[in-house]
Amino acid sequence: MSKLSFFLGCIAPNRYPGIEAATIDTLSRLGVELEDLKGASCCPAPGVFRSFDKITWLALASRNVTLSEEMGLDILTVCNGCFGSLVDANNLMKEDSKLREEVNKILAEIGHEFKGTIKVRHIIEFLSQEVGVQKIKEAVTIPMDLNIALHYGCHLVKPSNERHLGSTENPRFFDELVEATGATSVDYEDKMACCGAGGGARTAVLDTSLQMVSNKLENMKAAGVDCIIDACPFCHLQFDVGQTEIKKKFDKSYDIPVVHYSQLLGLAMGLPLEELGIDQNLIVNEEFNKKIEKIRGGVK
Amino acid sequence: MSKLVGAVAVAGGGIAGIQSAIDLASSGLKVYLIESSTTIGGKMAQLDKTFPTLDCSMCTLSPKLAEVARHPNIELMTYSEITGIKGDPGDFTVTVKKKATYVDYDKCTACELCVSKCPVKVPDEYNEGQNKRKAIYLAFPQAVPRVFTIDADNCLYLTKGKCGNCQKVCENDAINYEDKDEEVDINVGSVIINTGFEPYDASNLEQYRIDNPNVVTSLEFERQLSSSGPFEGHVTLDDGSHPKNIAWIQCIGSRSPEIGRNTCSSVCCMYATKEAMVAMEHDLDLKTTIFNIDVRAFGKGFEEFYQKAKNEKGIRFINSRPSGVEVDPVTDNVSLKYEAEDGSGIKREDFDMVVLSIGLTPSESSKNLAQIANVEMDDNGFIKTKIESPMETSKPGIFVCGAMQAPKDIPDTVADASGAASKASSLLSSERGTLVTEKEYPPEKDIGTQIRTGVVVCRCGINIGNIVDVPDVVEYAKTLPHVVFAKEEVYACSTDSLEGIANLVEEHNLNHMVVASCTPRTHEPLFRETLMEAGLNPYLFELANIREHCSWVHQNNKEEATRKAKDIVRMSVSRANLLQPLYQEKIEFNNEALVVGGGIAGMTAALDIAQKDFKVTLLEKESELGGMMLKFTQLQDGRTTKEVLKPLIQKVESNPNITVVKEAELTEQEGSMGNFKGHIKGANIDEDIEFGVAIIATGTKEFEPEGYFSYGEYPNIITQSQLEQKLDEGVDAKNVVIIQCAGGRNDDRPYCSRACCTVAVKNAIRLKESDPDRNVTILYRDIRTFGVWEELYTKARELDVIFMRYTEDKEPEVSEKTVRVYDHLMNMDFEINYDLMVLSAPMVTPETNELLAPMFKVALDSNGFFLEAHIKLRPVECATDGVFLAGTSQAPKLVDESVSQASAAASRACTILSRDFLETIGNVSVVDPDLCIGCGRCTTVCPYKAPELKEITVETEEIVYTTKKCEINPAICKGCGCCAAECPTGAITARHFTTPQIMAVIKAYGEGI
Amino acid sequence: MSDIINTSDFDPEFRKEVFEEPGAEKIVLCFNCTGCTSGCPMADQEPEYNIRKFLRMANLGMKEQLLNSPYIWYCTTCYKCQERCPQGVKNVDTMLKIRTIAIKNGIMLDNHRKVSQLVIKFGHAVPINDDAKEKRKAVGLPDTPPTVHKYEDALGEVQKVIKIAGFDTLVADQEADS
Repeated sequence: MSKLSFFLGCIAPNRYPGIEAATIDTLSRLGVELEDLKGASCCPAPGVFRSFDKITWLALASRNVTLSEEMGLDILTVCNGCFGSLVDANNLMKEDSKLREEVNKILAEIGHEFKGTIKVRHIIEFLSQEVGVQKIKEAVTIPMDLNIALHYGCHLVKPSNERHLGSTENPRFFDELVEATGATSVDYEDKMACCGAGGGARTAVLDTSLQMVSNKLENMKAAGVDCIIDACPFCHLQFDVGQTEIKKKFDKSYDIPVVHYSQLLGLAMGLPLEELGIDQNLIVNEEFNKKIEKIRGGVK
Repeated sequence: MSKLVGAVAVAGGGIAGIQSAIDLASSGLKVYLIESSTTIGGKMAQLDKTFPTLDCSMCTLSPKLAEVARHPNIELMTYSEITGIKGDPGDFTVTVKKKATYVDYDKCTACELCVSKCPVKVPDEYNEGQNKRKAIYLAFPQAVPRVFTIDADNCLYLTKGKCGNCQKVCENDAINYEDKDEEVDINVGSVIINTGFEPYDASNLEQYRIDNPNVVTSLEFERQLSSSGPFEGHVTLDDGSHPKNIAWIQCIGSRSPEIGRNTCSSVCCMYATKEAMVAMEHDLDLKTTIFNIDVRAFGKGFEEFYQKAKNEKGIRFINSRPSGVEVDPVTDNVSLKYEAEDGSGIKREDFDMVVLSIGLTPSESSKNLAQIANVEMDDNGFIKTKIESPMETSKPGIFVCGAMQAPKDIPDTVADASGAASKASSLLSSERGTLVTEKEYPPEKDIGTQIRTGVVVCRCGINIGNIVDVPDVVEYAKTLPHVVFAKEEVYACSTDSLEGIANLVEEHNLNHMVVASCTPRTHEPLFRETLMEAGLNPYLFELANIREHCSWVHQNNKEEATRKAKDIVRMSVSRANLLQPLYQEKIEFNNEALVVGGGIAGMTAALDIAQKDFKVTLLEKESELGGMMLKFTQLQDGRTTKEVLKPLIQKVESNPNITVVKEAELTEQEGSMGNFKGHIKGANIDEDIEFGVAIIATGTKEFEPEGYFSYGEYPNIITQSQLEQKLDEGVDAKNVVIIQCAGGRNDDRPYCSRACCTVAVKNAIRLKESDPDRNVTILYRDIRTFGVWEELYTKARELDVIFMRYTEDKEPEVSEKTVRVYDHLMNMDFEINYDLMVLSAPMVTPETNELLAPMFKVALDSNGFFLEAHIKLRPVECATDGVFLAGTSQAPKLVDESVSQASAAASRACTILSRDFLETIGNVSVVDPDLCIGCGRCTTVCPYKAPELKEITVETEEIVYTTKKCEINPAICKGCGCCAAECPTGAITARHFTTPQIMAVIKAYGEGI
Repeated sequence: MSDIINTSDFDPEFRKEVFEEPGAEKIVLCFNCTGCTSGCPMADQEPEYNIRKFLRMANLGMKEQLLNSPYIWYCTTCYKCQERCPQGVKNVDTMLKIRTIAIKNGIMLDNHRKVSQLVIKFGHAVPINDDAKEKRKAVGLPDTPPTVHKYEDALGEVQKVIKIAGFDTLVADQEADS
C-alpha cells in the first residue's frame, strides 16, 4: 500500500468535487492511500502568481510542500497547474541555495522549514510509472467503450527539461492509461494545443481565451468523440464553463461532456455515479449519459 | 622519414574521393579507393539536378565514375571499410575489411537474372526507402563496379538456409554463399579521408511530422524528381496524385544548438531553390514556397539564381520558418502556420506536400574513421583543420576534404579534393610513377577500305526512351548506308554497356561507330576511349545528340521527336562513314609554371607546385606579397593575418624552386598549354618568359562604395578593410553601425560577395570584445554566415551585437550622426545614433582582368570574374587548356577556400607538368601549301593564333621565288575550323570536319525533307 | 509603424533587470526564425500578441513600449515556443519576468488584482461557495475541504507569508489618480 498526501488545489475541491471524490476512491482500489494535506492553500496558481512576485509564489508553494514534508509523504496532485507550480517550486528550492535561504527565512516566521525531502507527483504520471497500465486493466470491471478526446494540457509534460516525461509533441503515456479503461483515444488535430486558460489569460482576456478553447473543441468535434478526458481542473473548467460562455458569446454549441481521468477510472471501476459528480458539470449531454448507462449495464 | 610509398589510400567514394583519386592516379601515384557501400558515387549519385546550372547530376558524375573504373592506377575497394591505420607519413599500413558480397566480381556480368528471381523485397536505400529493391541488388544502373551484391541481413539463404534462387539461375556461376569477409593490409604513403555526410534524421524533430506520408525529406524529394527514381520523375503524393502546392522548410537539423547542430549546412537554401525550380519545370501549374530564416545564396551564380527563382519563376520566399507541421488526422492533410512578414499576424496555408530541408551532419562511420585515424574532430563532429591548411588534419600524412571537413557544396568539394590530392602527393613526389601501370591499348586495327558502321541508340533511362521510340530508331538505323549493326542500350555510358560496345566492334568487325545519346561535351571522351580499348582510332566515333537536341526539348511531341531522332541519326551516320583515323602528335613542353598574383592563393599554389619539384615564377604587381590579406588584420579563428602570412611569405621567398618577381606585370602572352611565351615588365624587370602552365590568382579589391549609404559624405563612414586597420590600432567609437550589402546584390553588382557577413560578424565580435559597453548594430538583408561560420554569428549575438533586418526596397538612410532603418522583423522604424559607420562592400575585380583575360584567351563572366571550365566539376580550370584559377580571381571567397582552391589548381596543373610529353589533339587543321596563296586571312580569324605566315622559298622548274605560306601550329590549334571556313582557296582542311563530311551531313538532312 | 524610435531611448537597466531571471539572458540568441510566434496558439487568435517581438523589445530595452502593451498579459504559458526554440531561448520564463517588472512598476490588470486579493483573503484563487458546498455533500465529501478553508491557523500562515513578502501592497487596488 503506498501512501501520499492529497494536494487538492482550488478548482477541484471548490468547483468540481467529483474529481476529488473519484480520485480518493479509485486510488484506494489501486492500493494507493491518500491522506488529507491539512491546511494546504492555493498552490499558488503558477500562471498568475509566478509572474506577479517570484518570492511570494515560491514561499506559498514551498509552504504547501513543507506541510507534506512534515507528514513524511510525497504529494499527489490531480491538476496540471498545481503540479507545475509545486514541482517547479520544489526543484528550485532544492537546487538554488540562495533562494532556499531567502524563502526559509519567511517560512521560519510561520514555523515551517523546507528540507527538500519529498517528491511532487501528478496522478497521471504516478499511475503510469508507479501503478502501471496492467494493474489498472485488472482493476477495470466495466470496459468503457467510448471514443474520447484526450487533453494532456500543457504543464504536465512541459517544460520538458523540468518534467522529464518524454516527448512533448507526441506523448503516449496518458493515452495508455485511458486505453486501459477500454476507451479509445481518438487522434484529433492539434491534440497537444493549450486550452487557453493558463497564464492568467482566462482572467485577463476571457474572450480571446475562449476563442482558443473553441478552436480545440472544433477539432475534437471534427474527429467525432463522446467526451473530453483531462487531468487538470482548470482545463476542465475552461472546457465545461467555457462551452456555456461560448454558447452565449459566440453562439456556437459543441455539447461535449468533460470528464477528469479519475472520473473515467471511477466509471470503469463501477463506482456509483453520484460519487463521481459528472452530472454536476454545466455541459450535460443526454446522449452521453445514456451511453454511459448502457455501458455500465444499468449500474448506477 | 625512411620509406616513401608511391601510393595513397582514399577513404570514401563520393565525388570528393573520386576527384582526389583521379587527380592522384593521373599524376603517377597508385590509389586505393575504399568505399563502404556497394558502389562509388555517394550522395551526388542521388541528386537529380545540381545548382546553379541545373545540370543533370548523374550525367556530370557518370563520366567520372567510368574514369575511375577504367583507370589502371586506381584499385577500387567497394563494400569495404578501414579498420586500422598504423605508421607514419610516407609509410602507412592501412587495414581494410572487405565485406563479403557473395557474388564473384570477375564472373558477374550484371545480367540481372538473379534479381528477377529473388523473392525478398526491402526498402531501397538509393531511393531513400520510397520503393523496394531485392536482397541481391545493384544500387543504381551506372554503379561502379557494375556487379551485384547480396544483402546478407535480408537474404533468405544466408539467414535461414532457404531459397537459393539466385545461385540456381546464374548462368555464370557467380553466386558464392561461402564468401567471407576479408581483412587486407595495404601499404600507402598518405591517406585522404573524405567520407562525406549523413543527412539529418528528421524523426528527431517530431513536430515536423516526417511520419506523415506527404512530408518528405529533401533527399527523398530529389529521388522523386529524378527520372531514374521511384516515380520516374513525377513527384507523387501518398494517394498517387501529384501535388499542386509544395512547401520547403529550411534549416531542419541545422543552426540549432538545442539539438547539438551548431552549424549551418551551407547547401540547403540553394538545393531547395533548385528543387522548386526543377519541380516547376516538370509541372507548370505547380506553386512552390520556401520558408526560411536567411536565404544563403552566397556562391558563384547563386544570388542570381535566387533572384531568378523569386522574380522570374515566382517561387515564394517567406522569411518565417514554421516551428512544426500541422496535420489533420482525419484526412492526413498537411498545412503550415507562419508569421506574415508585414506584421499582420499568423497565416495558415494548406500544402499538398511539405519538404524538410535537412542538414548535413557527420555520420557515425565518419566519426569512427576519425578515431581509427587518430585525427581530431571539432565540436560539431567535423574534422578539425586550420584556416591556412584546410585539408590537413591533426595527423601528418592524413588529409581531409569534402563535407567531412565542413558542410559544403559540390564545386567546393571538388576543389577541396584536388587540393587534398595535391597535399597527399607532395609528400610522395619522389615516388611518382613507381607503383603505377601504364594503360595499354591494343594495337590499332587496319580498318581496310570497306566501311562497316555500328549504331547504338541509348534510352538514357526514360530521358530519351519515354519520348523517342528507340526500337524504331534502331530499325531505321539498320537501313542506313554502311550500317551493319544497330542496337539499343538503356544507359550506353554504364561500364557494362561500354564493354559491350567494345565487344560489338570485335564481333561485327566494325570500323566506325555512332552512339545516339546525349551530349558530346560530357560523353564523347568516354566513347572515344572505348573505341581505343577495342583497337579502333578514337576519331572514328560520332555522337548523335538525340537528348538535348531532341527528347528533352520535344517532350510533348513524341511522334515528331522520333522522326527528328531518325534525322539526326541519319545525318550522323553519313558523317561517321567518312571519318578518318587521326593521330595526336607528341610535343615537347616546358614544365615550368607561372603564377600571376602573389596573394594567399598565388603563394599557396606556387608553394604546392614547387614542393612537387617543379619551377615556378610568382608574379606580383605590388611591392610586397600578401594581396588582400594585407588589408585585413584578423582571421575568423581569432589569429592575426600576420601570423599566417609571415611564415607563408618566408616559405615562398626561401623556396629554391620559386622565383618571386615583385612590382611587375605580364604585358604580353601567347602560345598554348606546355608552350606559353610571355613578357614581364616592371620596376626592375623587362624580359621574356616561357612557361607550360599558368595559374591566375589576381584576386580582387574592396569596392569603394561611393554613392551608397552616404559613403564619402561624412568622415566617420568607412569600409571593412579600414575597420580592420582601426581595430588593430584601437577603436574608441561608442556606437558602431555596420551595414551589409553596401553596393552589392543590386543591379550594378548582382552577385553576393560571400565573405562580408562572416567578416562583419567577426569584426563586430572584435568591437565588442575590446569594449563590451560599445553598442554594435548590424543592418543586414540576409545573414550569410554559412557552414561553420554560423558559430561566429551565434557568438556575436551572445556578445549583445544587435542585428536588424532591412529589405532591398527600403534601404537604411544615413545622415551625419544617425541612420534610420525600417526593421523588417519588428515592423518598426528605428533611428540609431552612430559615431562610426562601417560599410561591408563587395569584392570587385581589378581592371587589369580585362587585359589579362584576352591574353590567356580566358573569358570573364558578367561580373568580371574569370570563367571556369565547368562551375560544378571543373571549378579551378579554364576552358583554355593549361590555364587555371585560384582564389578570388574566380569568385569571392574566404581565406580557407582560397587556399584549398589554390592547392586544387596546383594539383590540376601538376597533372600536366608531371607528364613526359604533351600531345596535340587529333583534329587539328592543316594547310595544303600548294593551294595556299599566303593571303593571311586565316591569321585574322583564328582565336588562338595558331596559323602563322612563314616565308619560304619555292623552287619550280622555271623560277625560284620567296613567298609566304601559312603553317598551322598543331600544338596550339584547337580544331575549331574558322581558318578553313575563311580560306578563299580551300587550302585548309579542318580535320574531322572536312568539307565532304559536312556536305554529307547537309545532304543527309535534305533527304528527310 | 508610424513612430520612429530612437535607440538612445532604449533602457539598458530594464534589460539588465530582465536578465536577473536565470535563463532570460538567452533571448540574445534569438535569430528571428519566427518559430515561436508561428506556433503560438494565442498569436493565432490575436495578431498583436507576438512573443518574438516582445522578447526582442526586452532585448533592446524598450521598457515603456513593452510594459505598457496590453498584450503582454495574453501568454497562457503553454511552453510550446520554449520547447521548440532552436536556440534555447526561455520565452515563457522571460515573459513572466517582464510581467513581474510591469507589476513592480504598478502596471497590473484589475482582474489579476482581484484574483490575488482572493488568495490573500481566502487562501484560494477560486474560493468555495455555497453551491460548491452542496456539490461536495452530493458526492459524499465533507462540505469544506481540509485546506485553509477549514483550518484558520493555516490561513493565518498564508496571510503572514504574504505580508512579509509585501505581496498585499503589490496587488492592492490602485488609487484613482495614480
